[in-house]
Amino acid sequence: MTTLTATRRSVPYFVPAVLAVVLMIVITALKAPQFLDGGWKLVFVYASPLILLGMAQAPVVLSGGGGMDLSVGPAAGLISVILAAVLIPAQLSVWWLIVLAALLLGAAGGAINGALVAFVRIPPIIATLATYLVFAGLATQILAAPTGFLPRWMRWFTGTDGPLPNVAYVVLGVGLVWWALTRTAYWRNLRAVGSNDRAAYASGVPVTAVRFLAYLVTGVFTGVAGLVLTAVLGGADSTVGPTYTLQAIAAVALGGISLAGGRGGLLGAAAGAVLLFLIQNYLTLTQASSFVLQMVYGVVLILAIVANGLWDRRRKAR
Amino acid sequence: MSTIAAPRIALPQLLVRLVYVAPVALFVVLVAVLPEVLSRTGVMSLLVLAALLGIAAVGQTWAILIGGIDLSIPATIGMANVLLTTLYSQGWGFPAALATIAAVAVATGVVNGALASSLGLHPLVVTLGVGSVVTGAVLVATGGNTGGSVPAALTGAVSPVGTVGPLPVPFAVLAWVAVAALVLWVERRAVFGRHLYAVGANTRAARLAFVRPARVQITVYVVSALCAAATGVLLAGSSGGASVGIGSTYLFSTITAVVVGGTSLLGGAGSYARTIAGVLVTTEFTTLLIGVGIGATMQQVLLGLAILVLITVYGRDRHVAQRL
Amino acid sequence: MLVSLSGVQHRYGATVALADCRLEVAPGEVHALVGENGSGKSTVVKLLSGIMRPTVGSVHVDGDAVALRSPAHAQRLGIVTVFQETLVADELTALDNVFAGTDGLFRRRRGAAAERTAAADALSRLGADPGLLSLTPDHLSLAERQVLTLARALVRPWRLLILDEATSALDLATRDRLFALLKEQTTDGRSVLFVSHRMDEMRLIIDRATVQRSGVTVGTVTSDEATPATLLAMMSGRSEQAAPARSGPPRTGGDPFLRLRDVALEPGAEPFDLTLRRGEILGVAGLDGQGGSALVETVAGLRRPRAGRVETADGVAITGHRSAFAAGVAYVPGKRQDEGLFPTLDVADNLAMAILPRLARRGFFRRSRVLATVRDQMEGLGVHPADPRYPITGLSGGNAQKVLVGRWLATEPDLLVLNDPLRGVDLGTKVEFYALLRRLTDDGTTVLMLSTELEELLAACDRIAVCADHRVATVLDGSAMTHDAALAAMFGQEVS
Repeated sequence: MTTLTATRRSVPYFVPAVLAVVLMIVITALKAPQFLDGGWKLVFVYASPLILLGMAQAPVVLSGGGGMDLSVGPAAGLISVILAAVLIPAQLSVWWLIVLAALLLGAAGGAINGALVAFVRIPPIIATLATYLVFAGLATQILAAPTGFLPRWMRWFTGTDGPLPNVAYVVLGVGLVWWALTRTAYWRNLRAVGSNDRAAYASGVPVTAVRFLAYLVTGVFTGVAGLVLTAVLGGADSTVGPTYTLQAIAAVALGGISLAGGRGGLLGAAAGAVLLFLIQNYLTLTQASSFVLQMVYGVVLILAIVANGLWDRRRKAR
Repeated sequence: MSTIAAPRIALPQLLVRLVYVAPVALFVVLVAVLPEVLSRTGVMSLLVLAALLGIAAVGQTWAILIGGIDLSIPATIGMANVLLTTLYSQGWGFPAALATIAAVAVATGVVNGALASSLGLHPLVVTLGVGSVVTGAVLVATGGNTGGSVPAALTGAVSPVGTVGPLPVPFAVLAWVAVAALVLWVERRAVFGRHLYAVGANTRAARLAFVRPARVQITVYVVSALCAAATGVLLAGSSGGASVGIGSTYLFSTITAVVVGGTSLLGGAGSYARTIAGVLVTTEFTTLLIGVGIGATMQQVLLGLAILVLITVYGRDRHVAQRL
Repeated sequence: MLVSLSGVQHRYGATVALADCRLEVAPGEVHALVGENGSGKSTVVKLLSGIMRPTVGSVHVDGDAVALRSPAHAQRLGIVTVFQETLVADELTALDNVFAGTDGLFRRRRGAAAERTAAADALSRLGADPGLLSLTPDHLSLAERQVLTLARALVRPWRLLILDEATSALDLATRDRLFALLKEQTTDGRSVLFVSHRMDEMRLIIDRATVQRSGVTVGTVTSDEATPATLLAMMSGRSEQAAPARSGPPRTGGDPFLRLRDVALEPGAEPFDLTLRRGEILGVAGLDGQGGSALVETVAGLRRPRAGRVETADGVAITGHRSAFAAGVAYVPGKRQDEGLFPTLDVADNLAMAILPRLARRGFFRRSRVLATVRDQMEGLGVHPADPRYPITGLSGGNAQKVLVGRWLATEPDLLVLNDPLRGVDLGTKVEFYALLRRLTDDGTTVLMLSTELEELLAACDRIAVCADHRVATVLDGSAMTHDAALAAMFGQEVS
């Protein structure tokens, strides 16, 4: 019985991504030895918005039915703009107020996407493409040129007070919230809906509520990303947000999360994002032009989805 | 590509008729608000902008008609734009430069179509990735140079006061008319045209009727890339310089033109004729918004909202219980 | 009554799936629901499990009318269903599959240890290895997956357990364990609604049986009365049914046109031979999933047989859809909506799609030429309305089906394969259709027609191949071609 169980079991989904991250760390350390002596901390700070957005993308992809949130980039950008160009200049810069505002704005964006997808039943790609436009447009409307006056406390995000860069605790915090969520029945509900919504519905899972909640969670995490993005940018720039959408999707695909839904988690998404950033970092180290980066993103995204597609096909064939 | 044959709600009849009246009605409004539009230069500037969008939107129309989407259009526009100016200033002949651009465009389209059809990956992610590769490759190949010169003929082609022989119409507008005529003829009278609709309406039924969906899909993305490249070349005439990001606004404007025209995002319903109406409406609308002082960003917001409203009217999915 | 339906109707658009259903399940009984295909059994199951709501009438639970909103709602009232399709989520372990849907949105109803114990208990009582619980369903056999769906139902607090053909993949030992379990669990007032086509196994367990025919409940009989003969008679009920009249006597047919040699439709299924003769109408009968669809799809080249070969009389092997078409075989798919119609297009486009390449020159066609072909077919088939520009979705089911037949008739095939062409089509159109098929065969065309309605095959066909257990069990012709013989063969019974 044990042998039967062992032989029929497969490797956890995130293993390839984590191994690739380890490999990239080794390669980077060989190229730039100072990376291991703390150089990585700065890299991590710059990577943190992408890591958070990759993690934010994961719940909706997991919820299946073509689930995807193209608006995460512009949403994080818009939140950043509202924080840095609206609230902070209005002297509403107390830390708890800003954090709360980021979370609530994120939740609002997620609720809008979730309602459009789960209740109105607009295909996720189209719904979030439209909100992408709206969020990106509003961000530019509010803030035409980059701004950079932040309260002093926001420097915490980019600093290092302990063994880890401070922002790592934010990432861990998001991970912890997600971990707590996976301890509840929601985790099973989400994977059931993502894997086979018909089976889930027939077994009594509230499919619509589960999907809506996935978008809401994505929204809240996007809010956190917007906050961190503001700190990392040292202000707000309405053109930065949209560029993250492609990378966040690439991170999810790289992290081994099935774009068909049901398989994966935040760990994989975070690993995928770290991997993507390490590749970018390595290319920068080797003096590769910034133009190469754009190409690499595309190639990495395509390879990741092809690998994902082949994997899904193999499973279906069984 | 959609493999589920969802029962589709027919486009509301009112919308079907309205879409062809809308460009005329909106033009009247436009003239009422901005009288200066009613001049040869005014009308021609409008039509040149519409032509650039209209040519780029051919591929988007067909991609959406077969139930897909093409997000690599802006990258292909940028590729053609930069490649033309770079090659031309390096002393290449115009035809040789065009041939090179066309070859790159065909390759882009084949990769898009083949990846999307062979593995059943969603065209959205595929074209997003391929677009990124194209943009990156162009930047690497040209070293990011944005200078360069363009053939004088190209400047005239998109100038509102440009002419073609005795006709007081710029080349770009005539080119659009020719492209539109060809596209409409193919849609209506070519076997391939009917296959587009078959694949979009019901891929499974199409395959059983001996239509080859993969072949149709690849052809569509090749046509899309070629048309986007044509827009990119023409844009070189109006901008004078080159920029790999010159096509970025065309991502959403092509989708909006198709959706405003009433082509269903679920595939199988619509036509390029509707997109022509959609192109004219969006161009007029944009001109109007600019005329009354509404900036590009608010236009974008309004476009997003318009897409949501239109999809809610005719593009909703089925409830899970209806699939049991 | 625990659960009852009375005077319940259900319509899908214009199609009446359930015209008058009366069903009463008493506490503590195992109640069978039987009927031919299309008799409304699955509609009843869907109404009781909250997937659909009746158009007229309502479901009563404990005597009160309730509007079941969803399967979750039905479950809260104690109605738990095991569907015919083994609906499982491949990304979840078997254990999670068993308990998904028992929780709230966040709140777990039981701890992980309690879940494992309960699921392991359910599996071992069904004779399965509890070790399967940590595997995902894609690693399980079909039988194991069916056990899984049964365990999923059994661990829920059910009062009415609906088993919709949920024992078809089980081996005998597992089935007997299940029956013993159900016998034991129904002693405390819980009930089972048992939908199965296996008469012999049904008798082992049921207390009463309700028979459905064409959307109408024929009646309910006790276990003693429910002999196969009685049930079959109630299911067929020819005396009342307006059976379409035959358009002429069966014919013997001409030379062989197509041969199936030692063909096995499924791995392990018994191989069989079948010959189609020129100018005959050969019917294919059988219950869903018993090999009928597989047979017609194999002839059309859409399925490779697991063993044996399909070839024309000239020895040309059929190895795929295109090679079948080249050999003169045209296939009209069964599920009109999914596999046939282009819902956004008009009649002309729908009809001409397959013939278009032949009418075109260098890829372009002349509208007039296409319309002429379309009009010819529409006229020959009597499509109403006779307007080629009419949207296909505006046509009745029968007329839409004529268009699909026209799509393939336009290609002038030697063999027309029809997969249940007349599902949901009215009687008048059916009669017209039989006459059409007869005219075609008069011109030398051969027809292979699968139908889920025996009456239809008896009225239209020269011979009937009855499928059971993934093979052609018997071919009826001449005076042996009777309703009773066919029905008995479908249900695996000897002809009485």
